[in-house]
Amino acid sequence: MKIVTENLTHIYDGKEVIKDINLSVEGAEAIALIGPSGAGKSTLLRLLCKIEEASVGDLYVNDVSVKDVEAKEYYKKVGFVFQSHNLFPHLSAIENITLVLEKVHKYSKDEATKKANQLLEQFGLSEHSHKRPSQLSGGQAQRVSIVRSLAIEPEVLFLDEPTSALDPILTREVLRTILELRNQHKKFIIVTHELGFAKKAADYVIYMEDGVVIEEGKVDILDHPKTNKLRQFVEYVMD
Amino acid sequence: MIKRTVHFSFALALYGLLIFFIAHSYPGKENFDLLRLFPARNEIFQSWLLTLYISLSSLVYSMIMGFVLYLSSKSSLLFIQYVGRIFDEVVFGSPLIVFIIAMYYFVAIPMGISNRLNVGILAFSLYMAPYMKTLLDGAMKSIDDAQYQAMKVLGFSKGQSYRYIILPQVIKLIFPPLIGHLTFIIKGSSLLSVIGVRELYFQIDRIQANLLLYVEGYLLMFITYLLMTIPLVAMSRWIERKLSL
Repeated sequence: MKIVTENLTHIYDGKEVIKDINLSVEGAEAIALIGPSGAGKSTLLRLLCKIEEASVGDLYVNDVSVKDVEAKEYYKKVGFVFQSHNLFPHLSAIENITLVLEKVHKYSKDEATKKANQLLEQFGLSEHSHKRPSQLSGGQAQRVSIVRSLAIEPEVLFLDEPTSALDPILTREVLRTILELRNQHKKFIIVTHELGFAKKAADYVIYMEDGVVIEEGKVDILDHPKTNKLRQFVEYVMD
Repeated sequence: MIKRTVHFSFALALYGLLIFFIAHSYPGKENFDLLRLFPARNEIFQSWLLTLYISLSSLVYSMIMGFVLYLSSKSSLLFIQYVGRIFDEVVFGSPLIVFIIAMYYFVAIPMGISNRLNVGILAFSLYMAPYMKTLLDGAMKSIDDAQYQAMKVLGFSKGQSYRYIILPQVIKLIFPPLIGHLTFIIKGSSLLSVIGVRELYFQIDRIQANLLLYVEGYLLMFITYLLMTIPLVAMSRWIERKLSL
């Protein structure tokens, strides 16, 4: 995966939440965006996924200009997992997946069902396929949401703190699913507070504070930080 | 369940006693005979059908007009928003009977519209439109931003979003109150008699005056309206229960 940002700045409600970020990451399979609350991690992720349009600067995902690409075309290539599962409440787990495949990606009904069943089985969710989101636990619903995003075979999957709304037990359940993605060499960028998890799941880490990238590099930087800010953050979180 | 049935039976028995008491103490009870209205059964049945027709037509048209009002409230043009809001206020502030009379004398007659039935349906539909708009507005608000964001990043077009995600949820939400609105329309349709529409109330009122069967006439009126509204209320509750599962 290749991520490039050039002089990226974003202003929200009159406040600069992303400040002149210049990134150039190539060859990473899984990137973890870490940092304290309010650092701008989720905003950066939303800009990369075109949920919000950047105020200033350019950004590219796999050489596609996120600013210039048509949204509908872009969303056929990338997936996004929200903090809460955001499943459609009137549809069952499997319908949440097949609807996207049939209507947006033009699969036949049979193909869509086959693919959805395959993925649900792969992620241990087969027994829940006909349940509505209200009948699923938070962890199960979030896993279905991940499967829904994976079903379209995205080039890059964006995950925005997918465990933030879950208790520790359900968090483990979802993190295991994300580790499974890593084992399958899926490309993803994840915003997370779980440093231990980031070490296991990511091969590249970007540390942000107050809208600025403080340090970035291979996952080893979590064990050997170069900047005081990252060192203090790691010590504080691991303490 | 058994406890509820017993209590329901007691309540019914209480009303039965009340009816018996009224019937027993009514001074002209010896002459009471509901079957004396039998010769007018065809006219009554026709007017019953007409009431249903008026109610269902008004429901459909008021939904369309309510949707237009809803769109006007979301318009980027403030002028359009105000047009809708002023209409809402006029309706919310007017008694239905006044609105019907005003529509007939101040709108239909000056415009040369002579078909009283059409004027009645139009008046009713216009009157119900702001209520439909409110219903629609509440249902649309129940779909949170998170779902809209999910629709966007999953690549659904606006049309697909409405067809497969928004409308199925909105319809489920508005269906039970919509039946409630239909019962209100059925009951209110009797007011169209003031402009001479030959619906159920108008027709039975005319027949009972001709045959001098006032008590029988009003009782029949009572029963025929309840026969339409009670099943609808029960259906609305049943659907509500089903949808909440």
